[in-house]
Amino acid sequence: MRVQEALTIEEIQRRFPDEWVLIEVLEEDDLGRPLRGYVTAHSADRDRIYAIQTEFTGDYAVCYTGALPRKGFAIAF
Amino acid sequence: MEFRFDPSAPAIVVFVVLQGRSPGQRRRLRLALDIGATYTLIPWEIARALGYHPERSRRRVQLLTADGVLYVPLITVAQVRALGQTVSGLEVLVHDLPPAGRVDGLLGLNFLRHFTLTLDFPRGRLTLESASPRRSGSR
Repeated sequence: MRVQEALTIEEIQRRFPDEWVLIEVLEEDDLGRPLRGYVTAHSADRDRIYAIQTEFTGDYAVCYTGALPRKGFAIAF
Repeated sequence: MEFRFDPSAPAIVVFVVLQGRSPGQRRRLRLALDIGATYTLIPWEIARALGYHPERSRRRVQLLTADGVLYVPLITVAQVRALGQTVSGLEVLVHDLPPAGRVDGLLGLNFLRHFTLTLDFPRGRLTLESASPRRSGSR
């Protein structure tokens, strides 16, 4: 499942639009945001990615590549 | 350190780096900045991947949700880093938010209150700076 080449976060967003991705982080910025890494898994099902990431040791990011819901949604937690 | 955000977005979402129980075990998540949340909150499977055992935690907190009251475990995460700042030994609630919200959890007051938080909505800028030491005798 792992994509064998390191991708930038912009490339990951382009290749896996509106999906949850698990990224092995190779590079971060000053704010801790991943800049580059290997996509280890991707899915439209968030819980699948949550389950898969338990199998990995190291520095991994879970990230939704799409936008936050806008029209017709309000976020309240 | 300055963070740029979209003032018209439905939430301010930031990457948070969570340190696991063993060195080198780390997870980065997108959490909604929430000054209305008492605690920082992360999902169950992320807590487990980091080597924590929320199911064994004796500390439970009542969480008021739209669906009623839940008793949610509280764990202590070794280190939490967000917006260029770090807190060690942060108590974190473990609970899954609905997937439709597209964020993994909440960055709550128990992290933010260690710092000076400035939200500039007209410019879409957020800064989180080390708090100035209080002068003795000041209230």
